[in-house]
Amino acid sequence: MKSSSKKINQRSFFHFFRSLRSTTNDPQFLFLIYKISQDILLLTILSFVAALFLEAVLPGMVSGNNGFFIVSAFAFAAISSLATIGKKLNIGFQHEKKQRFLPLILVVAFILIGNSMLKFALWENLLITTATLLIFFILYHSFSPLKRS
Amino acid sequence: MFDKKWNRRYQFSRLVVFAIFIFIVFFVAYKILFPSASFVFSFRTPNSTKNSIINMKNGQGDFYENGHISAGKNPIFETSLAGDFSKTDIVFNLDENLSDKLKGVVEIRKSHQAFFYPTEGPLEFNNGSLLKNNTEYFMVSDGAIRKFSSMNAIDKLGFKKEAFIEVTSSDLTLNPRGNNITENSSYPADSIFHILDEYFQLKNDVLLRFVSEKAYLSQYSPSQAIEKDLAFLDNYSVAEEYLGFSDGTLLSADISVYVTSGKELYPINNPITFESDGYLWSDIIPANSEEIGIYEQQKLFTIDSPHPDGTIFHTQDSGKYYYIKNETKREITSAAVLKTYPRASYIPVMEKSLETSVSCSINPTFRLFGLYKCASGIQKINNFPGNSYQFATNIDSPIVLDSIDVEFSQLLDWNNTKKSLGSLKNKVFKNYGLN
Repeated sequence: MKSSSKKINQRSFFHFFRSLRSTTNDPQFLFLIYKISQDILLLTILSFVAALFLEAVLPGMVSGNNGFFIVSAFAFAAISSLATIGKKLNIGFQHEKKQRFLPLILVVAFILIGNSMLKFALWENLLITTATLLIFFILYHSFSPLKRS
Repeated sequence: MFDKKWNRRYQFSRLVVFAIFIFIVFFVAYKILFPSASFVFSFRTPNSTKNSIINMKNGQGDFYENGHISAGKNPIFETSLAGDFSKTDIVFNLDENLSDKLKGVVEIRKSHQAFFYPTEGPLEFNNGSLLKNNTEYFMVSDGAIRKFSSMNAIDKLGFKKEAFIEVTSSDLTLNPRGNNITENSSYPADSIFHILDEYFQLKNDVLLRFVSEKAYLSQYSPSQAIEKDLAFLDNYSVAEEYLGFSDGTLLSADISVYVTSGKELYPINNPITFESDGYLWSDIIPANSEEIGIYEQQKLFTIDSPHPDGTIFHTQDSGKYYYIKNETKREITSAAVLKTYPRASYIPVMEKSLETSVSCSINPTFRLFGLYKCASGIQKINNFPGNSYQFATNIDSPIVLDSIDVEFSQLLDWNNTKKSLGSLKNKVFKNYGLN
């Protein structure tokens, strides 16, 4: 009795690993992980922006607890997973012509840069912040120039 | 794209991810609103700098070299921290191979580390002080009170009568008596002279120059100095050594803040240490490089450092003053003595913080692994000024300890939530200079 139950256990154990292996190679499963990684990346980016604001309002609150390191680690893990699975599933990245998030990024950057220079007079602060964003914009476009259609 | 079955799986997984994310958000918010602080001491490495529990001593005041706790040598230790906490857990990790079970209690008090020092006799008058009792005039020189034999002696030596402070006859017993000062005496030690724009003090027949007028005024009043001309310097040699500020003076240079004590200068490591030690930002005196340069710079003054010698504590409940010297505290019994130790302000403490304690019994948590715990609410002592918690253990039988862990935390209730939100609001306002 004992030896037969042992055999059944061994069989079910190998069956579990075989099915696990076939599942991990299943394109549907890989696509599920890909989509979940996308969700995690979105949440991580939102967390990173929230962490930036929290650090701006309460200096040391995030950096003092390795918050940026933890969020960045999650972001890198999600990006690595997206890149690896995307390669397996032949999912390419399309460069969006219309940068939908640019206005949002500019607003966030404007607030954060302005916040870091509160000791300056208001007009100096606005001038420096605008100039900084302009310089970054020009630098960005000199490294990745806009393609002509 | 997913088929129907995998789409269901994806929706479920997505729900799980979002649920985990919301849990993390709440956990982070909890950690921000209810912070905790942990401290540890390993008896295997008692001299390690990783030990955040400080002053681990036995009942006789000796430091531990290992975890063998014999009868009557119960550990007394301290932790220093800033913040508002309502509960503490003390975990005793026994060496399970060598120890039997642990029973006992822990008593917890809160104040400043230096205020826990043992009390010694009353403090005497400061050197150089000029005292008056009715018609008799005295000077404190080399620790002894010396009487002026006559008014002529005072006039001849050039002391100003307005500089003498009125004392009682019992005050005059605080210092030992020295020889009388007569008309023919030379200047007594600790006499102070004002020559041109500089101040000097006589010590061992050598004149020591005050590094600046600011430094002099932090120790003595202007009237205490005898006016002399430049020719007076021919009578004495002038030492290369300078005299600095009164002990406990807060000096600033660039972005650093220092506290003085004798010839030593302690750089304060951060604003949390500064504020939790009871210092005031308004007391800081900006100092130049010469004023800073006369001191021997010491290692960083952290929240774990006790207040240095020369610090004066003021008990807000009993109105007493205590002076810190050589790891003892000495009461300043007279207002006249206090006048001879001028300070910008005193460090506030509560006398009853020494008598008020909270206690807890040590109970097993995982006896198999030699873990015992003592948990206590600390609301009763929490509001006392100070940043140091002292834990006095009373253990029934000899044991062998491996380590001790202490954790401070806050109870999750509406009052603490309101307090935490209020303190966060204050921090934000402070950051933007709104209060």
